[in-house]
Parts: sequence; C-alpha cells; structure tokens
Amino acid sequence: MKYRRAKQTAWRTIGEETILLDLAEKRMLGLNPTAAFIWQTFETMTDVDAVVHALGAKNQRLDAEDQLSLTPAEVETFLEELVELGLVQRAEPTEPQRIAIDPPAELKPPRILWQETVEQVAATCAFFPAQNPLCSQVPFS
Amino acid sequence: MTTHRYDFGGISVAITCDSHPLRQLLTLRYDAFRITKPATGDITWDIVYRLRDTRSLCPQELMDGRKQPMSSTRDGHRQYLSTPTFLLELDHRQRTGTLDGPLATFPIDRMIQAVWSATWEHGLIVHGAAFVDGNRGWLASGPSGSGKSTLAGLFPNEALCDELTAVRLDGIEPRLGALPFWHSRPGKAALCGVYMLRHGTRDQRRRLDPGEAFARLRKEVLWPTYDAEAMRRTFESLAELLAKVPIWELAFRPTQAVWPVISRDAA
Repeated sequence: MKYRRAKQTAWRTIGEETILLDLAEKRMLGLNPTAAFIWQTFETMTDVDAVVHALGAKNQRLDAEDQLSLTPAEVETFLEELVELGLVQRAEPTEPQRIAIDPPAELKPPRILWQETVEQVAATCAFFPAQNPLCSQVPFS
Repeated sequence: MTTHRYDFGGISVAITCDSHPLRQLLTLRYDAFRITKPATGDITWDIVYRLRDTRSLCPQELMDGRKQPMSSTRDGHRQYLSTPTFLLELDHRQRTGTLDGPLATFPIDRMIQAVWSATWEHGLIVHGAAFVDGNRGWLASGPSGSGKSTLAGLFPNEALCDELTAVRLDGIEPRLGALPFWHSRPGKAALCGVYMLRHGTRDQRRRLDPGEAFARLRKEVLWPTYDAEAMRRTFESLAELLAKVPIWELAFRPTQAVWPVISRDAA
C-alpha cells in the first residue's frame, strides 16, 4: 500500500519535535523523531517498503549493536493512524521510490505525542475589553 | 463621507464612513493611531464602513457579536469574511474593502486582524504587551493574569500596548508594532526578545529551548482560523520567530527593579 500526504497540512521541526498543522481540522500534532522521519518520507508519496528500505540503508553504515529496527507492522499501524486522522491518504502504487532522508539516531516506535485544537486565542481582552476584572485595569496613567 | 487614516502595526488603513456616531466611536477607540498620510513605502488599505443598522447594539448583542467565529470564502483576489453580525469584503489586488456592520468597533477590530494577516507573508499577531526603549523592543506574553497589564502599568513610558502586538519578520531584523487593542499607543521597534511571563518571588529570566518556547507561545498567537492559507503563513512565521528571536521565561515581582532584567542583552 502506498500513501501520500493530505494537501491541507504544514509541518516544521522545532527542537526535538516535528509539529504538524492540520489546516482542514484546525489542529496541531507533535510527532516523535521516528514518526517525523516517516512523515518526511512523504515528500511525494511513500509506502512501508520504502521506509524499511531507508532503515536498511542506514543500518549498512552502522555497527551491529547500533542498528535500528522498526517492524513493517509498526510503520503500517502508524500510517493507518494518520489515515484515520485524515493527514495522509492511501494512493495508487506507482514506480518504486528511493528515500534520501536519514532516519533518527535512536529509533523508537512512531508516536503522535500530543494533539490540540488551534484556538484563535484564549481569553484575550482584545475582543472583550472591560468584560472581566482582568480586562478592566488601567495600566497606563 | 469622511475618511480617517490609521497606522495599525505598520499598515496604513483608511476608514471611510458617513455616520457621525460611528466616527465618534472611531475617535474614541483608534484616534491615537491616526495619521495624516501614509509614510513612503507603506502598504495602504482603503476600507468603506457601511452601517448595516444605525442603532447601537445592546450589551448582549455586543458580546455575541464579538464572540461569533468569522468564516471566509475566496473568489480570485476577492475575499469575503463574515459573521452573523457583519460582512467584510476585501479586494487583495486593489487593497480596498467594504465593511457592512452595526454601530460598533468590533467589526473593525476583526478587519484589522484580517487585513494584517493577509498583508504580511512573514508576520503574526501575538497576545502580548509591547515595550520599547529607543529602537529596542520586547514582547511580554502569557495567558490573562500572567502579568502583561501589571508590567505595562509599571513602565508606562516604555509600554506601547498590553494586549495584542504585531510581529513582522520580513525585514533585516524582526520588528514589533503596537495594535489598537485595549490600552495602547502607536510605536514600533526591533524585537530583541520575547518573554513568557509568570509571577515570581524574584526577578529572573530563563532561556527556553525551541520546543518549550513553541509549546508556550503557540497558545498566545492570534491564529487566523478562518483562512487556511493565512493559518499556514502564521505557523511558518511562528517557527521563523523562534529561530530568530530569543524566547525567555520571565518570573517577576511587580516592581520597577525588573526592567534591567527585561532590557539585558541576550548574550
């Protein structure tokens, strides 16, 4: 099975986390490095074999004790979770694909660490001046 | 018809209306931001406010009107933003617009947000107070109750605004600009740092790593949730802000002794 990113998404890596912005559902999600690696393989489209192949290429450069392992089932479960969330779509198979992105140094199961709805802004006085005590102070005298 | 021009965070907005009561409201609310003409190179917008209903809203209608979410549709370079209370039509090519709304200023507040978000590709509006000292500026952010207005009250000569601040990232250096929300006066400066406020037993600051800074600051951004493309730009601008400007946690006591901590260089 191949997958591609949904169009209404944006992402950035900030610190240790990769943050996805789901523009359709107006929510943000934080990915761990393994999940971020899989997400980054979606530049065009990807499949489980391509992800596992990328890991194999990395392992060829590592000592035996440092080799990374991620089962195809773990990859597929994560991809299906993204499908459920509407962040990726199943796609028709095409030509085999090479992935040029290095996996993270430490490989843990791919996880969505958190997700939250994007609010316009919480509890600002900007649109509600003088409607509660916090918004009724007179700071400039 | 009377036209008054304003500088809202670096955008020159002319508002034309033929209603005397509305002009009085504009004067009360935005007069500090009035300018006679745009500066050379300023981006200008021309908005005509057409009163949909000449009566004032009752307090409940006013509250409901402020809370109503805005929806947006696009037709080429035209954008239609609406709530049950007002309709804002923007022409992004001509930078003109019409606002059909009641006798109130909140449709103009929402127009300022929409025009600002549509105009600057690299910029965002943050729930925070702006402080300046010469050409150096700092943004103090945090949820209501964290101390933005307290800090602004301690430094009336340095505070520009205590509610919403515009941040532009398109120039050589990041810059902040005051917006006319709650207590504010016009001004702009280079953005030297962002402080996430909390009350403390002594004045101290702690540099936040990018992940923690993003987790705290994203909750204080004015997200243009009505427009997917504007939301994407805001997201990318927030990431850019974290890369370019140091973000600190500032614990402070409500005394003027905190100013040297705020204005200290990042190094």
